[in-house]
Amino acid sequence: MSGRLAGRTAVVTGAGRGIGRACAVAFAAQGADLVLVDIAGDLPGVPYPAATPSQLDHTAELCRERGAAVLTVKADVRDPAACARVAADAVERFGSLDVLVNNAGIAGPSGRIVHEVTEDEWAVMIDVNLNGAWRMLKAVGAMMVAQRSGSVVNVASTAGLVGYRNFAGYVASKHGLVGLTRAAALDYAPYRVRVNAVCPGSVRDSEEWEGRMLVEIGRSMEIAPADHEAEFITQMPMNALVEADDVAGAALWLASDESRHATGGVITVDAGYSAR
Amino acid sequence: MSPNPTSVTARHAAVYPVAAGYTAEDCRAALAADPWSGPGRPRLWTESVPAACGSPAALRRRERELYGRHSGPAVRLTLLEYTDGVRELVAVTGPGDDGPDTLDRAALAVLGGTAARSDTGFPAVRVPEAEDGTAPWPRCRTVTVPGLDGAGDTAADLAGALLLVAARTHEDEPVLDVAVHTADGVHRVSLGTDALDEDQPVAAYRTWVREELARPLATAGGTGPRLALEVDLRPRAVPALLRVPALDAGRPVTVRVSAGGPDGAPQVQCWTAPGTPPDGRAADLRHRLTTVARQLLTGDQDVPLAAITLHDPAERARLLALGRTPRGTDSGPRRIDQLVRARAEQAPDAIALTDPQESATWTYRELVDTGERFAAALHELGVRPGDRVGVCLDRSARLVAVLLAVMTAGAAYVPLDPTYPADRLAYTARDADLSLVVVEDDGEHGDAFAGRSTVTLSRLRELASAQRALAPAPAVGPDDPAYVIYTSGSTGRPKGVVVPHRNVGRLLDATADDFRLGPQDVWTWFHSAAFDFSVWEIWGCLGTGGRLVVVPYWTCRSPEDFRALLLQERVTVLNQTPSAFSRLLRLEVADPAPLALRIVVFGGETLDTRALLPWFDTHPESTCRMVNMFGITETTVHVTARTVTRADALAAAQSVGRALPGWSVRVLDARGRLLPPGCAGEIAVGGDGPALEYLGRPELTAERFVDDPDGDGRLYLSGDKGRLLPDGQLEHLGRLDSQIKVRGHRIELDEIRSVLLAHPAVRAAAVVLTRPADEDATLDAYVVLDGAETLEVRRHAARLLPEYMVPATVTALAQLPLTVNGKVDVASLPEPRALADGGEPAAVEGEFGQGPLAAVLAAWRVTFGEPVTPDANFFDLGGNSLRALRVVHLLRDAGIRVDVRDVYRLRTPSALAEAASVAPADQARSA
Repeated sequence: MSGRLAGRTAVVTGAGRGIGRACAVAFAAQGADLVLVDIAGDLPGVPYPAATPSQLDHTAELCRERGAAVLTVKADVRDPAACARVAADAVERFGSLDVLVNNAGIAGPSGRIVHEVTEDEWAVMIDVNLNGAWRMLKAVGAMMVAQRSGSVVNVASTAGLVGYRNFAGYVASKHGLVGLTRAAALDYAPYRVRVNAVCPGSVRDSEEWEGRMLVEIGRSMEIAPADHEAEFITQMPMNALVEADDVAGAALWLASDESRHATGGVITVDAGYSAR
Repeated sequence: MSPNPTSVTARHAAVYPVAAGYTAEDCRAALAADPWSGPGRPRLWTESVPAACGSPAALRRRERELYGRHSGPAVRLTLLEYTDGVRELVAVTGPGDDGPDTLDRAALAVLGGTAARSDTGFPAVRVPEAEDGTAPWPRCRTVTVPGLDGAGDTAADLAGALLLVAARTHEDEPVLDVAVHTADGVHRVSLGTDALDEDQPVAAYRTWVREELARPLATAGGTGPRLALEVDLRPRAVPALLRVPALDAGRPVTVRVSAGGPDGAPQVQCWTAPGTPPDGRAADLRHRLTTVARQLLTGDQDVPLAAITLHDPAERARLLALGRTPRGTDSGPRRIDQLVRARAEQAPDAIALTDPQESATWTYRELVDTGERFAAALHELGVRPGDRVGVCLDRSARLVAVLLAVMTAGAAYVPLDPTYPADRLAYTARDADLSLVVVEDDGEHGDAFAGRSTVTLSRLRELASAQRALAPAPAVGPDDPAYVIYTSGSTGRPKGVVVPHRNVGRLLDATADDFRLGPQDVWTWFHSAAFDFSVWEIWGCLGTGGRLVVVPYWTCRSPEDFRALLLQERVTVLNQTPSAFSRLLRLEVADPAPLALRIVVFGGETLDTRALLPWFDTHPESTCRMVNMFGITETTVHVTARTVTRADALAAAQSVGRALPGWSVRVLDARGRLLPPGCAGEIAVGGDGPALEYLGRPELTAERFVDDPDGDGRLYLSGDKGRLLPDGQLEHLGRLDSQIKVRGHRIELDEIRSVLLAHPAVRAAAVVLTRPADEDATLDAYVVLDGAETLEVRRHAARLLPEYMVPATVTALAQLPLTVNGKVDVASLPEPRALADGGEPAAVEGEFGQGPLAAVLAAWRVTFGEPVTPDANFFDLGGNSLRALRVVHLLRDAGIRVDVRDVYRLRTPSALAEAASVAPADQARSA
């Protein structure tokens, strides 16, 4: 076994497609074994289709092609018991758990001024994006503390650093996730368990990874799917959209020993968006 | 840092074939129906592998399954489904499980007996073996052990061979853990090497091993590495494609013996644990196990165990070649004076010597002419070929001429350092039976040479002026003695090492090309003529046409002045002991100077390469090459060379490099037997280096200079500890006798020193043992610090060393005292300072007000630990170079600049204060 994550086991949530799939495949290529977690089914209240079981299996296949052993788990991060099961299965299958990527997240329901957001809309956004990450951390934290090593990568967003109009729930959840990152980093620092966040900007939808977040965000802003890339690009100082692979690269560094003294960090991968 | 991802706790694993058409669903159903009782019901995982069974990708995937971590108590079962429809079941036990039986039981639960059918057409899967040693997998090599036929006691036969290999190749006490699987369970015995007696006959040894193995649960302690032997000769109901023994990172090699080898003989496999470097250990073991087992099992049973060899003749030849570097340039045997004369003929007007103290320069023609006229004078005084002539002169250009003259006259020179005590000089003169001693006109050596003929330098010059040049003595050849240098080993009285001319010529052949030594070079002569590093400095330079700059004694003692000299003379080749160099290094780090150095050669002491990192920051490897040379007076200055790079410094490389061309090194065990690479033992040096003899000490000569059984001429047994690396480089591990025992613990002083140096603020370090014979023996450390407290250094050591190796005291010094030879002078180290000692007492000498005298008196009081009077004599108080430095540093802190030379020259506080008061800080020598 060789590679930057040789012999490590990584759990990636939201692994069915998009950034989650890109991270999983990047980790597999660097020698990690993977536990791929996805709800693989629709969430009530979310206005766009979630990843499917076959998409999750396809991620697993891509990882296996790179030599990884893979365990796929259908689980909803809103369910504490499911999160605990993911952790337990990971250890039973692979003997330990070294990396957690909290990637599962939703971008909608969004697109409304803050006082028009309903109780349910607000609740599902916070429950998946913020509480879900905390539940996974709760499931794996004790084990990582016990083994005195581990790296947690929270996939936040530039919405965790700045505001966006008509996205209050999303922005609040991602700000919360950045806050969770910093607080947990301090809690775990004495045990050499690291917690960092990656803040992607607008990520181009990818055919290969089947990501479709951007088009859904565009839809909630009433931008036609055909125009959404052009719309978003104009806001980027680098005149480009971030690719899922770029985010996976940052996550890989944070997951590996190369970042062994980085914790509580917030890395933007946003083509310069939040620099302004 | 994360834990080593490939470290595993010992557990067994096996790969079982699955009958064609038997699916994952069948497996699950069988497992669900199995009446498994007890804890740890196995769980089945299925994995599709995107490759055909037996392909490299499939094998890699299977390896991962076999060696991946598994922490649960239950057997982990993984069904691997390959693209060609073939399935395999991988089973891994939990930690601490005794093994094969549990695996077979779990496999049966899943395969439901189908696997037991052997007629299902399993594809033949090769047990893969890594032949190149580069692949981290697989880790198994099959061994054919001659004489192991399954008829005798297989466990005892193999254990005996393994134990002997382990004992021979590890200096610490290795332990062999033997597990014998029987129908009744597992019988475990640990064999230690402490009771192994190499003088007993082979037959008795084999009996001893058999009896040890029969003991119930015998355990052996031991500090060395552990090897494992697993013997399982039972027939198995469930066929497996591969059975992996319990591999443990703590046991780098495990030997597994099972039934079913070719011809019914037991099958022996060597396994390397995951997480251990693929350094061919299993391959080496395979060879040695075979060689040793052949002799033990099929050879003469009456020979002593000590006669069993680790290597067959081919392997022995390979090992010898590994430590030998063939001659490159071969100018043939030459005399040293001929080397210099050849240079003088080539370039008579080139400058041979610069003597800044006397503002003199000598051309090669002048040097050789003077040498030949001095030689004539020596002849006139009765010196004849074969004589030994003492040379007790201050270092100067004339000293070189006298050395050359002695050799031209056919005699050997015996350098006597005039700063040595008279008793030591007298001893040397007597021991060497000097026929004549050349001394300074005002030499202060008491009656050291009483009863011996002496000649002063001026008398010699007087005589020489009346002589014609003496042609080199024709009767003396390259094989005759050129010089005799006295070395004081750690034990016994000093002994004279007699080195022939030829060796020095060979040394130049071995280095001149590689170092590109030539007329463009400027060398310093830094070291006392009585230290053989100077042989290299003087004759290395003058034999290659360079210019030799005589470094005055006082300049050697002052890093500032020495650096100024290097700059002024544009010195290109510098030779230093690491201790001396560290002083220069400190200056260069604080304020780099545009030195012209292109090569720095280290010798005389172990170099800690880490210390060179700051040097590389300002002096890149591309402009100045740093060469670490290991050498011994008895092997003609040097033995090996290694260019030290920044990467070496970062890695704290301990290698001293390969043998010089024409030299050879090998490592021997305590009985003088050849050790393979990786094993530490005594360094023996052969080839062009070994000296002729110890003067007048035939017994010692016979003991240390031995005939090479492999026909490489003579070997010098160095008493130094080392290890040959697989690429032929030598690691120098200090003196064999630097290993000491304190309260029963084995301790390496060098190891403690190395840990101290690992602290970023420690610039230099020495560790000594006080009251060694005593129960109260303590380790005291001395360090030169740059920005840390001694307490912090001790805490650092306490973090890295076992309690019994942590120095009791750590004393900070401005510099480590050096001997005349530039090595750390252990005898001159001050009393260790208790760690609680906060600092110096306030420097107020009320009686003498606040002037320079008060400050000087305070500095002296601190230095000598008692009040002194203004007229006290520095030397009467026991002053030495270290104390002089202390005074200089204390005064510097008080804003008064004097140097070491002032302290020596002026001798009393009042004189020093007077000099200080007329030399305010801004006019003082620049630091």
